[in-house]
Amino acid sequence: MARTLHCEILSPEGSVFAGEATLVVATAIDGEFGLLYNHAPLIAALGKGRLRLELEGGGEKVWRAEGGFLEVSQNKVTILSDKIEEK
Amino acid sequence: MANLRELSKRITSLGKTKQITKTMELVATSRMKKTADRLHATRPYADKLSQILSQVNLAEYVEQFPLLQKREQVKRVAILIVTTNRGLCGAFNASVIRMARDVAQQLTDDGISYELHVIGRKGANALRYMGYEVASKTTNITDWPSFEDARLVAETLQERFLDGTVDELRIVYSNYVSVASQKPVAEMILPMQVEGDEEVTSEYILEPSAEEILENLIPAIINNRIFKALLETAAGEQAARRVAMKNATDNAEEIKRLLTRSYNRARQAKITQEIAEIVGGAEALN
Repeated sequence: MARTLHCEILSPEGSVFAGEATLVVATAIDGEFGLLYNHAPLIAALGKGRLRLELEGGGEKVWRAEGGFLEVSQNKVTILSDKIEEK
Repeated sequence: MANLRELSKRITSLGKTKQITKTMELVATSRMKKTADRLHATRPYADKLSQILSQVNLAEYVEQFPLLQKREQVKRVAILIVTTNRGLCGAFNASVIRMARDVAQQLTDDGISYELHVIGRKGANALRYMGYEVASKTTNITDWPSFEDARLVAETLQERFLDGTVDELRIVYSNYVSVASQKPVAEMILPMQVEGDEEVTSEYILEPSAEEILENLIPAIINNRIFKALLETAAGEQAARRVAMKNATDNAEEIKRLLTRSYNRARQAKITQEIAEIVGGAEALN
């Protein structure tokens, strides 16, 4: 089985993105952090900054988020943000 | 008979009206589907917000967050009333306004003062006409509300709560139950209710801390609740308009049928009379 994180980005208007990523780098209130496969369950408040996903099979996607939350558990990452824009 | 021409004119005019209401019905149907889809699209976000909230032992933090604190004495309440900018949607706005008046009356009976913040031209005008004082009205929200709209409204009212001008914030809006049913509801927004005081044992690491998460989470939940109310209203407005326009179309059809019958009768009477005249004339010649 591929060792990927299932990522979903949600905004109040609906789903922004859903897909598999090997690495998630987000900006929390106190700085950037990265998530890999098998990360411990975590809830983080996001600050203003980049959200970068390294996608399964190469390539990456970058968003700019302003506030929001990130939750990870059982290799599922959910990012909630009411201000998020793809870069 | 001049009556004939009169009737025929009315029938044509009615046909045109029917065409307009029929078109409006179709437009409302398609917009209703789109707005309802949008309403459903917000659900995952809202669910996740409450799921995150449930991972924090809220009761423990009430002290630190004024938005969670119940005031000992409620002196003034802000009521946010969500209506639409446009009419032609049956009793949709009227039922929300009635509910809002009930809430206001209840507060007056309890000796609590209130202020009305109205979204939508229809509600603002109606309430003003009824002699209520409207503290603020927002009419620039379209039938396609954005999250930004909700945030602006939420932040202004939150401010009034935090600086102590009001002790509670309630919202009256129309719940989009289904295509056929929209129900006005009154809900408490602030202080945010803390449900259950059972100990939460969370397996989650909270980063950077529960306090910091709550500080962002509580406003996010409040903004989202107001956003949801705006969307419920937008979807309900279209649904109500669809029904109202369908009734109007059916009614036009019915009246048209009756008029056509009168028209035919009048025409027949005219012919009969003419024949009688001819027969009478021919008889006179014999």
